[in-house]
Amino acid sequence: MTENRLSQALAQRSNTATTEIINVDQPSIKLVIVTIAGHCFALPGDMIQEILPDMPVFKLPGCPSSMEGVINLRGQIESVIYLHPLLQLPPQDFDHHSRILIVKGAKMRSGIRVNAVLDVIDIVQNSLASPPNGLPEHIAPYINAVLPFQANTITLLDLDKLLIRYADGLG
Amino acid sequence: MDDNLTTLDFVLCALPPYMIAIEAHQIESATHIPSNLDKDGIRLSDLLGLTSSAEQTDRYALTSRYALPTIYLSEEASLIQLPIEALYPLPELVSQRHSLNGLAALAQLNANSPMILVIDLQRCAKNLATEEIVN
Repeated sequence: MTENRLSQALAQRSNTATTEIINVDQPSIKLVIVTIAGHCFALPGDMIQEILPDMPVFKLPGCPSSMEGVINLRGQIESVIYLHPLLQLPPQDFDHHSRILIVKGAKMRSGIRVNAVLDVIDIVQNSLASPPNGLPEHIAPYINAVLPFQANTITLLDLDKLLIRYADGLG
Repeated sequence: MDDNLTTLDFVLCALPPYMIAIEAHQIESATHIPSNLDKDGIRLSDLLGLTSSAEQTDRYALTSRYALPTIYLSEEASLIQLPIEALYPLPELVSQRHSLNGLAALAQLNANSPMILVIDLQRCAKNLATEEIVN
């Protein structure tokens, strides 16, 4: 009787263990989940060098309205840009939840202003799916993938492409 | 070229809400505008491409070593010395996107002090000459 119960427990444990095993060999990526103008986006974590609290930004004259200004980050001047004009999203006020993310792309770096940082997650690459067809033309070139997040599907932005296009005059 | 460069002299001009610094060696003279002088120069704000306040009164004049008209200021300019550590190159996106004539660098004495726009008058003169050729 005791032996049967033990076998039953081990079998039960074995089944549970099987369902909980995660293949650690699967490559995973780190993503920073942010909100911009009420929309949720994922940003590639390997490009985010720092997440800064809201801080004073010096407004520069002669810059497009999509550029908030510059900050002095420990002796290095960084530009700070808004992403919502690039993504053609409506402007939104920034409160104390807003953050400045220091982004380092392949060719340039900048701060980007987001309304909030929701989470920093590790996700297996298999969870990323190709972007669906029929995305709006102005946003489709900057979406690398879609992924599930808190019962929703969110988009992974191509920050490199956004920065390059911004330098070329987008926004 | 001075190997032991630690500071640079600048002429500092207030252009509210901004502060403008111009390397002192680029300025030939800084004077009050005589009341009977014809104002054939250019306001600093106009030279930089900033919208200027119509109410301001031009009281001071800068002449440069370059092919530029006399530059008019409403506030008196002062001479300051900035340590080179206080000078910062423009971030790349700012370089690519700004439209301020002659903006060459930024300066800030410490994290809490206001940012100063460093203007290169030689670059201003070149830009103006190019504009005139185009027009």
